[in-house]
Amino acid sequence: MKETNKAGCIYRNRRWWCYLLLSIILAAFYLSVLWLGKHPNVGMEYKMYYITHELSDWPGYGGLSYANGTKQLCIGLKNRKGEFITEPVCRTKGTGWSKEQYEGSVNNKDTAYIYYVPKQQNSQSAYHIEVTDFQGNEPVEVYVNDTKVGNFTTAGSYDFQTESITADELTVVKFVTKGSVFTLYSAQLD
Amino acid sequence: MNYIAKKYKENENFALFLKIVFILLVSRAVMLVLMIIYNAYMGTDRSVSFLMNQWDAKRYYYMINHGYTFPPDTDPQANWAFFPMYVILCQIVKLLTFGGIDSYWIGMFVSNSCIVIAAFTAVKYMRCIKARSIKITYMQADNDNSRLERLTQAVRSDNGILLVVLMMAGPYSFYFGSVYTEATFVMFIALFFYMAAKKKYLLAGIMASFASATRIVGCLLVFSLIIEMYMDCNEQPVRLTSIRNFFVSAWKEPKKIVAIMICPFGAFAHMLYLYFFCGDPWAFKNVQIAWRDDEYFPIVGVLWKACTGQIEPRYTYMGWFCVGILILYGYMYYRRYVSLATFGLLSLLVALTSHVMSTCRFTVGSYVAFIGLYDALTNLTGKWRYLKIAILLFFAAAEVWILFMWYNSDSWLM
Repeated sequence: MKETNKAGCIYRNRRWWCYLLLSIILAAFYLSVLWLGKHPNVGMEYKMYYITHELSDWPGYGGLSYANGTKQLCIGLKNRKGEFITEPVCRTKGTGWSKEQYEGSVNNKDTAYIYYVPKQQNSQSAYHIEVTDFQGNEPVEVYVNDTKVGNFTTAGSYDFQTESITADELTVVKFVTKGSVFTLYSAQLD
Repeated sequence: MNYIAKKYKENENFALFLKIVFILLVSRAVMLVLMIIYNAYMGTDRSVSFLMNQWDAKRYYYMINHGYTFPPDTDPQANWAFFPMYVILCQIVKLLTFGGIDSYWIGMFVSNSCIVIAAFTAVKYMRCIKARSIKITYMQADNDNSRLERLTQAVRSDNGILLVVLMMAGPYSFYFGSVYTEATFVMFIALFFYMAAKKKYLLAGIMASFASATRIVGCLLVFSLIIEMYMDCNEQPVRLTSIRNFFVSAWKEPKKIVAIMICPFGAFAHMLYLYFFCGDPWAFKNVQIAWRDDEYFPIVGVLWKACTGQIEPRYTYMGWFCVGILILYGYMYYRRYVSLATFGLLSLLVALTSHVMSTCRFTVGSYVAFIGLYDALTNLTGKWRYLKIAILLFFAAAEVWILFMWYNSDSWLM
């Protein structure tokens, strides 16, 4: 790759420079792709399911969007026979729930989450839940956007009054248990 | 006919090609006979394309017809987990046939063509490195004529047919006949090592690039390329001066730098495509959560859990299979197949960072295990030849058994 000119000086030939330039272009290309990888241009559902793993089920693109007042069953998409459930199913549960959810969602950690992106704003909202089973002595505390809205200690239906819910923004419902295990069958955010 | 007979005698490459095609046809005929027996035994009437293409083959079939698609609301297992090179080859062939042939048959044609090229290249590679070892032996001990003669005879007598048989009819080789990426991946790896052995590093880099566009672990070929280049410019083991020699040699010939740099190009090109397609260059990695979310301590934890039967019986088998393959790679290091063993080892370790699932398929699809196995078997001479025959008979029986499991959609072969 070295050649000598008329003056006797050694210089690199054109091919040497071309290969070096090609190497630099490839390095720049790889760095650009890695930079894009650090800044993905994805929706909230994609990010929370595939990247941060905050969602335990894939809700589909736009699946976090929630029509206020819809009662969702906290069970899987299919029943034990493998048939699809026809009623609305909550696919926006976060971490803290057991995988098997035929009879409802059972918490398997001290904190369990459900996420919503409400379509409508509501200054005085309410959160309704149906608990079909409860084991333990400690109450389960319910938080909406980090504000405690109530607790429960037995199976049954509960209504919790919440503060304002903002449209098109992520609303986080958190169940904090201290060793208690409960089965959530349905949930509804007004 | 006379022309072919004459060419067969005179042209070594043509003769090798015909032998490979013959072995391929025999192995595929055996598969067909087993299909008839399977259908008769199970009382089914399943077609060739149905029986040959289980599990992910159905995903590749869909991708050949529709390309990449967004996951539906009910299934997060997006098909962008699969790299595009094999699908692109199939789509090109489908285009050439004006879309008149079923995609399963297109895929099987591409896979079988790729494995023929891979087997041809593998035999040429073995002959190349054996010839090189004779040259080195001759240079080191030019007075030892008898040893040189023995080695020369060894190359002449070893026509590499056993290697072809292992690739066409060895255990798990049925993947090379179905709509899976394995055959294409093996072809690019075989071409990579052949080019590297011939010191055509830029071409080797381009082959690695194609391999990285077929499966992500193709990127790991960059380490094998560096080892090949290093061993080319240094006879000595790793020392500071020899490392310096390597860098000086690369600086003097930046073609070598380009060869190294181009290895992962296929994977990065796919990542760029994914950015434009779904907004996430790492989508192929991030989508893995849809297949499994069980987490183990990488490699050691995964192997421990698998081998001690703490997961599922099929994973216990796969765990011990991996241990066997690790021993094989250790043997390959001992036999100085350093670059091949390194690639095999790294690609297995990458798989073991998450799970032992599919490691049998991954190992067969990494090609280098065939070279190690072939080397080990050809060294079983003298009184050891009975062991070699026993191993080959076991392999034949195993492949028949595995084929029946495959036709039966057994989850052990996912």
